[in-house]
Amino acid sequence: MLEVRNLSKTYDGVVALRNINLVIEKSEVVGIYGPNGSGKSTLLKIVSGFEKPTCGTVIFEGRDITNEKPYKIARMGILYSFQIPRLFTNLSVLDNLSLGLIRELGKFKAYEESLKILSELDLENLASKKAGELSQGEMKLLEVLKVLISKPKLLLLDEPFASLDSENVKKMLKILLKQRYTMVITAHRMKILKRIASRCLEIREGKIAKYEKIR
Amino acid sequence: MKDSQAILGLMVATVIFAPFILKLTLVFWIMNLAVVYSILVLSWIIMNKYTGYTSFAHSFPFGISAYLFALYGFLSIPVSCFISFVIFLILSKLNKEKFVFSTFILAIVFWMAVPYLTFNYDNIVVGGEEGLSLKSLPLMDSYLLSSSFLITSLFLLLFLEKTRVGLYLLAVGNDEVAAMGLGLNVNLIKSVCFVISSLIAVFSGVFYAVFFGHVSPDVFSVEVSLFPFIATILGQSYPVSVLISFALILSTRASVLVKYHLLLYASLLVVFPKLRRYAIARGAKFI
Amino acid sequence: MYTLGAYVAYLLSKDVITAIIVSGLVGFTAGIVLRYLIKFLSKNTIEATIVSLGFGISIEEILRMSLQTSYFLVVEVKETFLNIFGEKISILQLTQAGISLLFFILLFALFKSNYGLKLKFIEEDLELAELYGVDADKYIFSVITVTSFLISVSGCLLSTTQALSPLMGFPILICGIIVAALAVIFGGIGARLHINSILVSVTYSLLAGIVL
Repeated sequence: MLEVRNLSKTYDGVVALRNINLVIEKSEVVGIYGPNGSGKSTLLKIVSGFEKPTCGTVIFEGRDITNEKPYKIARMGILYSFQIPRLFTNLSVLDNLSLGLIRELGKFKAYEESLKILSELDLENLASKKAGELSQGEMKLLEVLKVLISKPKLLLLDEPFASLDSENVKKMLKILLKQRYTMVITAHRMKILKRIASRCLEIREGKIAKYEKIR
Repeated sequence: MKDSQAILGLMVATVIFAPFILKLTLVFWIMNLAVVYSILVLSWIIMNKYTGYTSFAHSFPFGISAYLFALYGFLSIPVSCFISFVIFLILSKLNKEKFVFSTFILAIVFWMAVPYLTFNYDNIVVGGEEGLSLKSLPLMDSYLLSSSFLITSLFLLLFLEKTRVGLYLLAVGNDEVAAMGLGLNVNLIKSVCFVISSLIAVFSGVFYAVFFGHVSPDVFSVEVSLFPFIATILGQSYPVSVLISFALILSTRASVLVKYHLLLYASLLVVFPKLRRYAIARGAKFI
Repeated sequence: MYTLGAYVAYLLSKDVITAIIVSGLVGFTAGIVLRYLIKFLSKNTIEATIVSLGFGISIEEILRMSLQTSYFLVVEVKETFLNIFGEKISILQLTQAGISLLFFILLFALFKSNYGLKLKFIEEDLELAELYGVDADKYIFSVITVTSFLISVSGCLLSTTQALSPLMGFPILICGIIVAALAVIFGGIGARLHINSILVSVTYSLLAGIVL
């Protein structure tokens, strides 16, 4: 489904990624872990179009998307969840969730779907709250839900468990385990990834240092 | 449409039609001025709310359309709109903070340069510090024209916010990167907003020109640049901002405050951030 | 502040030294007021800009309302001249140039000192500087009051070169923004930025003089 070939990225002489080669099949969940600054987020940003690689290509469903704009990549079905939540702080939680669905389902159906997902997680009380008024954990949950709800072909989750307490980590795992999407998830530690990923990669200093098949 | 917004919209419509009941020329005259400035305020809010860019140069499309209308008539509308759109688009390549400064510089530069601009019109030199004269519309006609434009725009914008397009616009104005990540073509949306904002500002300049029958370099003044900013002191709700525009124009033009209106605007600018935060925290649900 | 300094020069034109001192004090006081307005009313750069713009326009309006006539000229200054290499240069012009040079040197020395180092930290990241124990409030206060003092004094010194009106500060404001923006483009912080600003402003003034 996704193929990354010889991907490298350099920022002002600092090498963030070196010759990354990666293939992700449909319905696979790939976990990427590594220390801070190893290049995990950079890889996801390049795939989602928010960064351009210094060299290399990204191919999605047979199409070269290396130089595509982020919104076009999003419309193709690759959705990226930011490490630091990027929400529409002046809009309600419901609006934030519905935005990705509106084009396909129309406004009312999109709102219905959003309310449904909030009820499943016992979060209906947040529906009319402004996203800017949420707690850190709630923002993180919303950041992931915002992309999940659109049923993407490929989901890129950048540290979805970062700054979450154990209660919210459980909620997050519950959400992710329910899905059958193709996912790439980054985290600092392998322990959490092992619970959802089918295989894990360690990135160190911009290179794939270790590869482990979990399931 | 949210109940509170609809009520405010109806209040605005009532205020606009009040002069027809009162039938006082002075009231008509002041209300006409208020309507023209309110249209300018609407155009400013469109840019600020849906693109996130704060402009201090809305006097530019306002003034340039007034000047060009005085010279060339209706052709000025698409030309002024195009010029304004291009300038805003170029300046939007800067970040949002630099956009504020650069639009302010643009407004001041034009304000200073326009008194030196003269035109050869029918072998007569016109313009300069005197400005340009043109045939004005009768007060009633001018008022009907501008107030129907204002009411139509106001209700269209209130309705738009409730549609999916409105949600896209609000999303882009809030966070461009997040909007891109959800598949919105942010550059296209911003361009469309710049066009609509410029067009509405251009119309307000045209209404100003036909109302007064005279256009002077003061149409580019700092006062005009800052007015929309001050009118949105309690937030970017369309009806509230229009009501505040009316209140400002009425209070400063219809009383002893005429000589001090710029000082009033300056004081409002000073308290603006605090007042805005207070209003948003206390009154957000209603506004 | 520039306009305030110029008007002080007009009102005290018979005594140049007093005019310079008074304009500096007036600027300093206005700077204190501005600092507290910004501190209590704004939370970020854009809000601070708006508050200072409102403050500036208020000063302009107060001047316009209290001194009703549009334009003033400072003409009652006794000028004596020196003959330097065949060129007649007034003592006033030399004083202006001397004071400007002194300001640049003082500011440069300031940037190279401990004070300047802390200013650089604050310029880079205010919160981080505070975490490292820098009293950002004190430094911001000093910067605003000192620059208000300087701009007011420069308004006083340059008052003889132009007609005074409440709006005379706007061209200076634009020049200042353009020069600062260009200097930032050439990079650097602290002393290097200061040197860039000097070079850009001198070049800008020369070009403006030639073109206009």
